[in-house]
Order: sequence, then C-alpha cells, then structure tokens
Amino acid sequence: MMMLAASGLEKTFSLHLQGGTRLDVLRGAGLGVRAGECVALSGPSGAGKSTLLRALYGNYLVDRGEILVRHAGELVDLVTAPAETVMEIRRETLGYVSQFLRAIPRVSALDVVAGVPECRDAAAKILRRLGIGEKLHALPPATFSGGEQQRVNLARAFIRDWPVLLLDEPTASLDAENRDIVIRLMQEAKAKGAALVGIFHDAFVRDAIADRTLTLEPVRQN
Amino acid sequence: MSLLLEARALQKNYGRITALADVSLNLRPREILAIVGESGSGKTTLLNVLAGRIAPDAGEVFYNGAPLSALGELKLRKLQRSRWGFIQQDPRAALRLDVSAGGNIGERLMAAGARHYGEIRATARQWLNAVEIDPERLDDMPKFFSGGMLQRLQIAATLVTEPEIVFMDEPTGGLDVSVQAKILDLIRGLVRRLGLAVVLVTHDIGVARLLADRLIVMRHGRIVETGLTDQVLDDPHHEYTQLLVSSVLPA
Amino acid sequence: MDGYNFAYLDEQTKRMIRRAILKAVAIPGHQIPFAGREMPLPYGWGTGGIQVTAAIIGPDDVLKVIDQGADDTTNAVSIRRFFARTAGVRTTTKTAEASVIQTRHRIPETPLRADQIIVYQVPMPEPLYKLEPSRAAAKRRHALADYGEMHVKLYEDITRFGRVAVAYDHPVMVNERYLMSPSPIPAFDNPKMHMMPALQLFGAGREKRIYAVPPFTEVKSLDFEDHPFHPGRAEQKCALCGGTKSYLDEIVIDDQGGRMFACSDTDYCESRRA
Repeated sequence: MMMLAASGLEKTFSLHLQGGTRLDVLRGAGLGVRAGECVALSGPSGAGKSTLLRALYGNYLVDRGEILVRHAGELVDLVTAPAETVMEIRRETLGYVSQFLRAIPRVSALDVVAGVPECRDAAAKILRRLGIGEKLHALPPATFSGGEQQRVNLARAFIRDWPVLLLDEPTASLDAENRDIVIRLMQEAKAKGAALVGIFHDAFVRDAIADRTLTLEPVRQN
Repeated sequence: MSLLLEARALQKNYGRITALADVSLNLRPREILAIVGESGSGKTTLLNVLAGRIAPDAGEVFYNGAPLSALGELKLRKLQRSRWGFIQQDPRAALRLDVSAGGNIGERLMAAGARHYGEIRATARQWLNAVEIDPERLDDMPKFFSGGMLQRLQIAATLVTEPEIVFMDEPTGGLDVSVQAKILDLIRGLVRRLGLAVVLVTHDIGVARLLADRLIVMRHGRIVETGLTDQVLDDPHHEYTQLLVSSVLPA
Repeated sequence: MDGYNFAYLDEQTKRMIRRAILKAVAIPGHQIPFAGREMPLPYGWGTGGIQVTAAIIGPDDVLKVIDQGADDTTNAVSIRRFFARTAGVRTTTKTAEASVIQTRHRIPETPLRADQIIVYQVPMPEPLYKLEPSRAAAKRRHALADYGEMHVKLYEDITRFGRVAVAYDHPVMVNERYLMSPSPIPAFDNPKMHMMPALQLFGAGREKRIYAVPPFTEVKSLDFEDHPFHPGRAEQKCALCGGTKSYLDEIVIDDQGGRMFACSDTDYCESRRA
C-alpha cells in the first residue's frame, strides 16, 4: 500500500539578505514509498536530499507539487493541508528523526523519549536497547556526547510505531555496534509495515536497509 | 475542530501610528501560537486586543464564534477572570505585593466564588508545588520573592482557575537566562498537561521555537509571515523573517 | 420654629432626597449619590443621617436618636432637640415607641417592626475604599460585581490573625448582589440587618451617598464556609441589668484600672431593670 507519494516538487530559496539570490534546489522531484519499504535518498552534497526530506515533513515549504501521506486511511496532501492537519499528521502518522537532538534544558533523557509519564517504562527499555544506561536516564541530554544525544533522538522516534518515518543520517555519529542496533530497529519498523525514507551516508547502512535508492542531481542554477 | 479564538481584519491606530493593520488569525483548542516581532511591531497591541483589554478601531475578535464587542463588560470581565488568563511580563504589575502568596493564588478562586478557606489554601499549596515554589511559603509576602519566583507565582495565580486560553506577554522577559529556562520549561509542561491554548508574545525566537506550534511574524502592525513554527524558522520566506532568524546569536 | 421649613430642609430638597431614597430602595445595597445640603453641624456629626430623617419625618412621627446605643450622649441629645425644634415631632427614648430611629454605630437590641424606619449615620459608604482608593474604580467593581479583592482581605486576616479581624463595619452582601458597608456598627449587630422587618436607610453627608436595605432583605456578612462570621461579644454580664445577650460597653470607673461592663443600648438596659 502506498504510504507516501510525492510528485512534481519544486523549491527555490530566495535569500533576501544575500541580495535576493535565488537557489533552485528541487525541480520536479518525487518519490513513492509503500508500507514495509525503505527508500534511500542519495546524491552529492547540495543535491537537495535534506531539502526533500524536510519538505516531506512539512518543515520546508515547496513552491509546487504534491506530497500525499496516508493518514487515517486517506491520502492527504501535505502541501495544501491546513496547519492543524499537518500538526495532526505529525502527531499520529509522520515521524522525523533529525540529524541532531535539539536538547531542551532540564528535561531528562527519559522524559524526552517518553513524552508523557505513562510511557516512561517503554522509554527506559528503548534507551537501554540503544545502549543508554539507567544512570543516564534521569539526566538532561544536553550534557551527553553527540553520539549519546543522537541515540536519545533515535529512541524518541523508535518508541512509537510510526506509519511513515523520515530519517536524516540516523547513524552518522554512532559506532558500529550502535549502528547495527539502529539497522535492526529500522528493519523491525519495516516488518511492522512502516514506510521509511532516509538519508544514509554510510553505504553499509544503505545496503542493509534500503529497498530502493533515489539519486538526486544538483539542479543547474539559471 | 472549531475555532476557539478568531480575529478578523483588526485595525488599531494611535494617532498617526498604525499599531495593527488588517490583522487576522485564529486559535484552536490546545494550540500554542506565538507572535514574534521586534518592538513597535504591534505584537503587544495585538495580544491586548485578542484578550479583550483594548478595543480595536476596526475588525472583530470572536470567542467560540461570538464577537467580543457584543459580550458586554460584565461577561467579558467574568471571562477574563476565570476562563481566560493573562500573564504579564512584569509580575509585580499583576500580583498584589502586600498580599500573601496564598492570597494571590486564591484571588481568582475567590472571585469565581470559592468560599472555603481550607480548600483555597490546599489548592494554593498544590499550585505553589506545581510552579516549584516551596509550599511552606504560602503565607509569605511576595515582597521578598525573587523575580523568577514572582513570575512563577503569577503563573500559579493565573492558571489556578484552569483557563481555556492563556495570553502571555513576554513571560520570561527581564529574567536571568537560567531562570528563563526554568520558567519556560514550567510553562511548557503546564500548558501540555492542562491542555491550554496559548497566545504568546515574544521577541525571542528561541522561546517561540521551544513553546509554539504555530508562529506569526509581525512588522509595523502587519503579519508578514505565518505557519508552523519549525517551518517559519527553518524555511523563512519573507525578507523580514529571514532577517529575524539570521539575527539570532548562536550559543 | 420661625423662619425654617418643617424639619429644616425646604420641600424641593426633601423631594430630591426622597427620590434618592426610592432609587436606593429599588437597588438594595447600591450607593446613590445625592446633592447634600449644608446643615447646621459639621461633617462627621451625622449630617447624612439628619438629611435622610428630615426628608422622611412627618408631624405624626415619633423620633428616637441614639449614639453608640445611648440616648443621652451629646450628639444624640443635640439631634433629637434639633428635630423637636424644627419639626415639632414627639421624641422618645423607648425603641418600641419610635416610628423613626436615627442611629450612630449601633442597632437597638429590641427587634424592630415593619412600621418602623431606622436611619444610619454613615462616615464612609464605600466598603472597598481601603482596598481600592480610586472611587471611579470602586464604582466599576460594584457595577461588575467584582468583589474578589474583599475576600482576599478576609483571607489575609484569617492567615494573619486566625480569624476575620473586622470588629466593626464588617462588609455585607445585600440581596446577593451588592457589597455594602453596614456603617461602623459592631459585627455583633450585623445579623440584625438580615430580613429585618423595618426599612433601613443609610445617609453619608460628607460623601453624599444614600443607600438602603428594604424590609425582609437578605443581608449576609462576608465570611468563609469554614470560618463563618462570628458576631463577637464580650463574655461579661451587664453590671446594671445582668443581661447576657446585649452588646456591652466597657467603662473605666477609676484610676486603678477598674472597669465595668454595661449594656450599650440604654433603653434596652432600662426596660430590663424596670
């Protein structure tokens, strides 16, 4: 079943502060992902991988095109959906794992992952699985290393079964052992029917998890 | 979901100064909306018009579909005393400094008809706890509280009636950074836990990013950009928004 | 008495005051401004009460005037004489015989009847004045029934003193709508105002306000459910009549600190001794 279908995406950045420079980043991009499938975005730096991924989350606005997400059984176009619908989709259907954890001061790692007190047990489990020991659970991640922070970030995503999950370099700051754990988590998600779209610089990870690769070419600037 | 608050084409002038020009927005239940702009952008005027404290020159604010202008002062005051809350930047202006902490928290309860001294005190103690003030300070005078404590007391005194909408005017302005972080975290937690709708005015983009679902950028009385907070801050389209975002000093 | 209208005030003035009284009766507990006249005694001596009495008194009325419960203090005597001379009405010290009773700072112990009127002398008609110095703002509060602050004050009293510390002029809610100052009567007297068969009129001369509580109106002293209003009274018996239910004056009788307690209401005390 098609979970995410984007087509005809165009995006141009207008940098008003840089004398109105225009940067075309997406020109006619699109992809489709089915339940249980993982599509990897690849291409050189500046090709628009991150832009595409963020656009799929609604974090970047596209100028043209449609992004259909299967939300509550229906295909909803993220591009034209009102703000509250996008918020609902992000709450229930569409997950996003950023490259870096945005650390909120004072909130413990456990609560960052759990969100609500009821989920603390599940949060502890997944943190442990990602190698974050009990001692660190009560601490705010701001003091953690980059790798530890990223694992907290990942725990926050994988504690839930997202129907669609977008991942931006999920294993970038991880050692081999933790990288393998994340691969396993992604495989389990796929097995549960999740549709994954990810940017994986590590070819090993890409080969392990991606069913298809979409290669983006940098748009020639006019 | 129905609209909790809706503003249509608000206009407000102070002499030749245009404070608000054709401002429209809406707010849904449990939504946090931040209004961001620099001084003179009209954001505080907008907040005051939305909260019914100032009447616009033109345009209308609707609460649950009913226009505020048709409410009458009695009903509006009642609304502002219990179903709505307003947290001011300077807690000293909002609190009674010669009344105990408990009395301050209890005031909205008493105005709403609470008449049991023991229960009022128990509720006040709970709220002191919730805002991380030692409940033993229930009978202490706010005169002796620090700025951060005063702001937390104001939050307690405002949220005690579990309002539906809370209007916040620079709730952490003027406080030390470490204190700000604590209070922002408090606000974030309380708002989520109580399911409040919030309209928050701030000049601090970091505050907006931390707390708000949606963002409105104002300049010279007009809305220049609006959208989901992360989208407006990560992919700003308007020149002014780009300027604001790029002006934030990295930590 | 030559050269003066009946009861001193001219008829136009009396009409003006009666109109104010009508408005006051129509809105129990609400303060009505009135154009107070110059009276032959200064502010602070009962000019408000006198103007109200002058507006309502007729030749067949019987007038009693008390000051702190006593008929024989200087003020009570002066005011009683004033009306005797300007209106020629019969005066009395017996509560039961009076049709109009003007009082400062007490309500008689003897329950009043439906055919009587009691006129209170009021120094400060605004119950909120200590909390809200602006009269305009206080007016707004009354209009919007915004009385939360008053309860805050009572809350603070209980916090600080363990009980509501208002010994006199304890604010009341009239007819569940207006917050009213009962005038500086002791808290002990507040319950008498509730559902009183007599008409209660209040006159403040300096502040130029009249207000009223119609007969059989609900008058409730502000309190908390778990700190109910307590009409305070000294524990002693009256040294003269032995009464245990009346409000007592504490009188110093010598230079060694000797004191006695006696009924504040002289007529009540006398009638018990008769």
